[in-house]
Amino acid sequence: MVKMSIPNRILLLIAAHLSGYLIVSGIEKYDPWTKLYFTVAFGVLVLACLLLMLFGFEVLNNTVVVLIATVIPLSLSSGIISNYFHHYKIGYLIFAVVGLLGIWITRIRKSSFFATVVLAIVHGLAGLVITVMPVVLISIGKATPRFIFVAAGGAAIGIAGLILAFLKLGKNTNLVSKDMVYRIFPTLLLVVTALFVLGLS
Amino acid sequence: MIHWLKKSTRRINDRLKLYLPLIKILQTGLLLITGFTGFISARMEHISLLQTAGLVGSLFLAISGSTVLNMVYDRDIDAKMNRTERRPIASGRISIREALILGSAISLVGLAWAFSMSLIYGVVVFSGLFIDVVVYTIWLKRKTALSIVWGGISGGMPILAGRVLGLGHIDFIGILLSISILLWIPTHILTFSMRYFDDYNRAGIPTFPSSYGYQNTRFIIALSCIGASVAIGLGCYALQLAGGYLRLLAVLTVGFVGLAVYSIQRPSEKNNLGLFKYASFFMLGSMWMIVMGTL
Repeated sequence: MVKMSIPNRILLLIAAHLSGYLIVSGIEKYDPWTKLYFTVAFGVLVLACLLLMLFGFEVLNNTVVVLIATVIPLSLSSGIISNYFHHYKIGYLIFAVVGLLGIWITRIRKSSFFATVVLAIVHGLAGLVITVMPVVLISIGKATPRFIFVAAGGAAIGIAGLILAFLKLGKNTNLVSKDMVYRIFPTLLLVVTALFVLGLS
Repeated sequence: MIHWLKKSTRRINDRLKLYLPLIKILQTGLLLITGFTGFISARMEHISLLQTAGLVGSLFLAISGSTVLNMVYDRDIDAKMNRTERRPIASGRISIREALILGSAISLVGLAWAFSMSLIYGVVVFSGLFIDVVVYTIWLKRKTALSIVWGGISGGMPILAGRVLGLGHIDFIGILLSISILLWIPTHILTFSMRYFDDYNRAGIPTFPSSYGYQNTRFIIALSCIGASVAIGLGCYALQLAGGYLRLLAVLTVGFVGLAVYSIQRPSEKNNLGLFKYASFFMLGSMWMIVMGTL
């Protein structure tokens, strides 16, 4: 297991602080439900950064990581839907809860085919909401241009998800080695957080 | 003359280097932060620089003095433990007489400074020092594992002292914040006593793991995490911190309690150490939020 370097720990600490800042004062303008969703998303980011700092990259091998990694896009996309598409917020909440339960159950039952399908559907839809919706909202004048950073953050978190998926393959691939993944993961987390802070606050 | 001056400076430097480990700078620093937080939480109309310097100075001296006195009394058990055998008094690099004079002197200066600022503030600082040195270290530490309750009470005094200095009286919020530290301290000490189980056993110090077993100790840690989180949450709510701070506190609490529960389910040295470090993060984070939220 690669030992986490001091610069990487500092990057994670900065990312945790940025996420904390967003929770404390960056999302005050939103309605209570949206605030709750964003608090969950960035709260998970705060805790993920702190746990990575304290326990090192070993944390990424934990089976709970898949669930945690799903909570972030699901709660973020729920926040976007709740704030901009009020009529769909109950429907999307049901999708988020069912999706999360689906991922949990398929992981417990170790049914790899269904697990992959459920994971792809849930992550895919949540990812679409985070990356495409900001562009749509800006183009129809419902959001300010800086909301584009949310889309960029969504794309970056998608890359982080892909990187985690590579790790879960359990072997080095030609595309990216395990060491490389560990080296860039803290930087990527910081970039993702910074983009969301820029876009949402 | 210059030669004599250089020699004297070097001698003083060498002495100071020996004195530094005597005051456990990290622990003293953390307690000072809680004292400063209590002071800021009083929301005074005007924060006097002189009073702030007085708070930091008097608390630093009183806490450092009590730490030195504790080390003087505990020198025999320190010498038996791998973790502490290199401490200056236990290893004989500082004489007992010198350490006793140093500890008493800085304690007295700290107390005198505290009393000169406010009688009630002085009483709270004195209570912290008395409970720590006399009740915890001299009376109970070698007799019962439950002595940590008194260690916790003395640890909760700096935050109460800070708030008392700011307000001029003891109030419910101050007691609540003090209780949060009292309940947080077992998390810190018990994870530590599990990590250095053999050391404490060798020194004959009763600890929770040796008296009640590892699993019960983990349960106590989890309960103490929950208790500390509830107390600090109520304290922050009573201080009317903005919703954002309460939300972040809730997030940190989920991590704190979650980690404690996880260490019950998956006991390991690494999880234990992780919880120990997270507990410090949690406390520092909570103090930072109270300071920022009340400024």
